[in-house]
Amino acid sequence: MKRIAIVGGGMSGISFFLQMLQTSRKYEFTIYEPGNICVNSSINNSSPSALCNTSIAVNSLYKDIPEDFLDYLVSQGFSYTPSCFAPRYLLTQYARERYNAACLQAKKMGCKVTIINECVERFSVHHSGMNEVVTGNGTTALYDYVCYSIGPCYQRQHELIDAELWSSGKVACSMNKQLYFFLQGKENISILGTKLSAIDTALYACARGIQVTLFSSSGLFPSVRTSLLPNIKCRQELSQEKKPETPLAFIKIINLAVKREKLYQRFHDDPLRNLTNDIKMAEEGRNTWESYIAEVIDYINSTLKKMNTADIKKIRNRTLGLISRYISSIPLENAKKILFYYKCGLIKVERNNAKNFRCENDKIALNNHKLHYDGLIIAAGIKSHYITKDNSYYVFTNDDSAHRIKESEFIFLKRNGAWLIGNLSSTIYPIVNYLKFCVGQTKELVDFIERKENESSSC
Amino acid sequence: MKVAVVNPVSSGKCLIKSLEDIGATVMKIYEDHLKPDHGDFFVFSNFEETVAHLKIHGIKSIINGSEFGTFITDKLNYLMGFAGNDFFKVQSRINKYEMFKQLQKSDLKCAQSFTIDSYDELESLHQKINFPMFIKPVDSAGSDGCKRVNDFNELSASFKQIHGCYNLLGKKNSSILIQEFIEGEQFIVNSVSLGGKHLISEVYRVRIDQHNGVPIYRSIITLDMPAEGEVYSHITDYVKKCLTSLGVAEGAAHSELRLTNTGPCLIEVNSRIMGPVLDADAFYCAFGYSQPSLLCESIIHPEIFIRRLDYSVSTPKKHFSMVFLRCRVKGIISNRKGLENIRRLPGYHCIRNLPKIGYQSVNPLLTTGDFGIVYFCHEDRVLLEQSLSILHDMEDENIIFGMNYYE
Repeated sequence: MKRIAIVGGGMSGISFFLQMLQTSRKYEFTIYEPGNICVNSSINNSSPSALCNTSIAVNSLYKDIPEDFLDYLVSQGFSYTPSCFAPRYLLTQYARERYNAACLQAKKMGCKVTIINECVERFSVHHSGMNEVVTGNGTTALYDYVCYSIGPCYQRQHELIDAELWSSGKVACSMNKQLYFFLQGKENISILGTKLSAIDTALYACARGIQVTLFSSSGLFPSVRTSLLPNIKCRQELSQEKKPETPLAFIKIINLAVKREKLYQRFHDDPLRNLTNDIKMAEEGRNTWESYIAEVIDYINSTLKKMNTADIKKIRNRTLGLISRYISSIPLENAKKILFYYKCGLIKVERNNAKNFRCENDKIALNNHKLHYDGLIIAAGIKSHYITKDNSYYVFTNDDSAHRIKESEFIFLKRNGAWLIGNLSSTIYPIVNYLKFCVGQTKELVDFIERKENESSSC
Repeated sequence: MKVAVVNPVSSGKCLIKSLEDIGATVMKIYEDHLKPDHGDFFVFSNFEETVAHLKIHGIKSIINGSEFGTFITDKLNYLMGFAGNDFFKVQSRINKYEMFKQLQKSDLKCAQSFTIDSYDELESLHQKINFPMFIKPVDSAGSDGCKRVNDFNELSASFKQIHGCYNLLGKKNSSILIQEFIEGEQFIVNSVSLGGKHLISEVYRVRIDQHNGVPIYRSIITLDMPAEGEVYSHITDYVKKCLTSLGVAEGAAHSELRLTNTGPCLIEVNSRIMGPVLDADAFYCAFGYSQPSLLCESIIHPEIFIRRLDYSVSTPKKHFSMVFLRCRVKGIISNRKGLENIRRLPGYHCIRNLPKIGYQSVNPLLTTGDFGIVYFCHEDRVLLEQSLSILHDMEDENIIFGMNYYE
């Protein structure tokens, strides 16, 4: 029986496991996950008001069954439609239940499933030609195929602020599971960041009657997302453009899209006015600029493969700037709550820098700012494990260590059946629709394995 | 078999159901202030009259129906010559200070406790106690009037605040318990004893949140067996020693303790079944029995019960949890809109004791089970823990009950 390692029991890893079982071949699976399968995924959040930032229609764990998540929700008695945004806990619950059922199915099929509750430190190709996985305590195992899907990691938040402030006990991170305890007895808090985890944390705190001030360099709320359902009209329009073959041609298309939709004219300096406009547009069902951009990126991604690395980099940099506001957009329901709390005076958003925070008389204070806060929550977001530097890739296995792989080595690994999935190979696309991208990649790996196995059996 | 149950209030009603299920004939005995408005029961006035009544009706066993029945049950068993708990240690089972002294004699760690009735007594304790301490009215329920105090000034202020006031049960707080505050995770151990041998029926880990020194009981969950086997043995061995030391030999017991850095430390033992409401179906789903059913079995079919004592560790069939719902704002309940989301949580089994529309929420910190008790059972621990976490978030975000707020 061929041996497959799945490094990381989050959404990508489980999607791979589920899709592998669809091939009906017998394999020996080993899942490396130091936490709980699916539950410790970066997307999970137990608060019912933390919604997925993509709609139900694009959150299936099977590429071939796009309606699987919706089917699951319907079977649980929820009256959602494909364009709704479900709470994140339902997505992890869905993954967990599919995983449990898949384990039973694997047993019936004669597959072996082993879970190892350890971190993986390193992976490479062994001299025998097999893929080698080394765990944190030095245990080594060899596999025919490896799905390396360790997901995103949080920024080193202590580096963002003053060291003295970090150790004051007045600071917590947005992904802290003990946030409930941190917020107890606090009346007003400051949050560093205005994007997804900052919004989730702000809603959580406001529900408890705590005054929240969000700080970011823009001093604006993120935009409001309505839906990511395929925009056929937009796709048709794009396909009529002259075939872009150079980076400049791509950028031209993006600029065209920006001009046509008069995107920049919609921005104001007043966060309330921006938010109200966004909500109004979303409620009227008008296509917002996000869905248009999503289609542009979709289109670019489909043709990126034909270009060289330098050109891809140019396009990526240009496009990332354009969609920076889009990537952190919030679902309509949460936007309405934010607006409500804003009008109640519970939420404020202001412009400030992380380095301006300091501890003063047992309170959080800011330079050039009169107010003091009972606590500071850092919600500065997540970053990819995978960065390019001197043509090398760095995979952060935990906060302190980075495993370096050269680009040539990465290609070699992939040919050998060790794939970096999801956030590990992030382009622009996964940010726009992370889960859909991961599922698509895992399916590619499944097809790759299937092809290899067919070849070896025919030999 | 004819069985008498003394003061069957709260979970005592579940005990009566279990007795009736197993085929026993039940006589209910109530003290005058606890008797229900109607029904068939005997009102306790004195021991002579009650003993005569029990003899006339051929009663073969007397069971404690609630924490208010401990003394009467033990004395009646002693007077009738029935097998029961050691009557000469009854005070150590109902008086926290006596309990502390008795366990100290047996070299067993226990939270230092005092029961006081006046401010003068409080002042006399000044030199005897080590802070932090925990203050609580003896006759109240849930966390009503409970508080952690860090020095004598805080203790004195809290005492003045609650002493002499009427509590949630409508009783005047005449006796106040002052107990050493023990740092550590809290556990509940339920047991049923027969002939001095103790069978552990369930062990739970308790989630308690602190809000400005006031403890808020959130939920209890079974230990993750067999992974937590070591914790289980450590706790249950200690509780068995405590039960023996306190003279518990027959019937149910509900013990609460904390696991400190230096080992388990008892908070209290109640020689009764766990309260406030026990849904037999949920317990059967998780364990294959409930504490009341085990108690009935030990009385009616001791030959079957005794075989259970051979199993040193009881591993539940499923992971089990109870959540004591909390309403975190003051107001009047106008709807229960969040219930449908609770009922869809994985592992949900049932919900009991739901408040009616129009019910008034007075103290947002209380968790007496008055706002419903949700039962969970599931094979998958991770899924169940996640459901608990979501439910607690729903409580904190106040999206279970629709409220009409008052000014």
